[in-house]
Amino acid sequence: MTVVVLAQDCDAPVDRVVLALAERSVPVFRADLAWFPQHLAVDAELVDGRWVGVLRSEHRSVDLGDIRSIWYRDPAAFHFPPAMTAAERSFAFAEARLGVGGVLATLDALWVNFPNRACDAMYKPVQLATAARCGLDVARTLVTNDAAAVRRFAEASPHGLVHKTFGANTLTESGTLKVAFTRRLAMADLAELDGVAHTAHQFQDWLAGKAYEVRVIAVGGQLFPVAIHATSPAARLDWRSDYDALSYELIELPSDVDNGVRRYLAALRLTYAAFDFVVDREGCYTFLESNSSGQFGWLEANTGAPITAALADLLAHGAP
Amino acid sequence: MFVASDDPLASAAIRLSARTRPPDATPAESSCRPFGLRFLHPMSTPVRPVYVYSHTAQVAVGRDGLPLAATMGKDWRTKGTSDGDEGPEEDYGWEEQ
Repeated sequence: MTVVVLAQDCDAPVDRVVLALAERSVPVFRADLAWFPQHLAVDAELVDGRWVGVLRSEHRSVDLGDIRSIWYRDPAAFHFPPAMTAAERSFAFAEARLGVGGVLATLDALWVNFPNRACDAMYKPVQLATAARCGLDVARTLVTNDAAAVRRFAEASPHGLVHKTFGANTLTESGTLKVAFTRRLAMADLAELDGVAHTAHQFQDWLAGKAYEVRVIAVGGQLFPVAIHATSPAARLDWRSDYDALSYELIELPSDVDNGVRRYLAALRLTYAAFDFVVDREGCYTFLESNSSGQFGWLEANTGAPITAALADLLAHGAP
Repeated sequence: MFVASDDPLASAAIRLSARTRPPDATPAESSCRPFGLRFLHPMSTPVRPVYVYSHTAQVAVGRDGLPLAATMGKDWRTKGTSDGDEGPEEDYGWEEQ
């Protein structure tokens, strides 16, 4: 049985998992969806209610019935001939997604993660509500495009507010890559809320008693919790802003958090996710967010947590 | 014709939009700039290593033909300013520490 890896061709953690599968003598078919349709072909016939055929690149092929698991790790978009018009490209893209995606969706294989489940889990309001229903503590949160609502929310906040984006926090303007880290709002910020009206915004209570943060990598039924200790003011606010000021430590989760994470994975039907928590000085965990394709490689490199091996085993066995 | 990417609320549209990097532009007039873009920090653009994709090994290899993952051992880290779901990572990778 074969493991299919759908990923971009330069992705370090994917390479390590592919090498780990090779060490286990597990057949792998790796492809980027950007190879379709020029360098990747699908050939599938419906036979007795099952799609029978192959997925084939210029270098190898895999029988659809021989696929045990599929790791869907941020492949690039389909890439069509540049001579196509915009209208032709739009048509071709929709056909490719519905055709290729439709065939793959029917396979009796383990998905890590199934694309639609991963997409559904991208909504941060869904994440917060699901986490709360699964017994995890969450921060008081406001979603709004109403400045008055922000002021009302701020008045009830004991330690002030932070703003967080819902989605991509990067933007390129005037040739410069820019990043929106979590921002603790000052009084002056709250006095200038005009831009709130222009789209949806997310505000949360600032968790003043933060001692450290934790990222939990969930791979099937295995959890790898890593404490992230920050030593700079910027990293204490948002650890992504200052990696040089971080240290890491493998820890054990409290049982209620462990149970909550597992319930969350089941609720959103995810087999892989990266969870972020704030831990206060009393050891209480507050859920921040989860990423169903969140990064893990640097945590493994810094702690020795066997995440690559866990992913390889999960994909090889085809079941948690 | 219905195009899923045009659906304002469907999660599938998020995935597609995440794959399409917004075009470079100069900042909008402050009167219509979302609050969430008020506090942006400039970042250096990540540089990818020189690599070739080996169709035999199915991994990226360096100039010497060896897998980058093997030759750089643990001396790489994956991290992101835009971690996880929000779109393609531009700065994961092979940074020597």
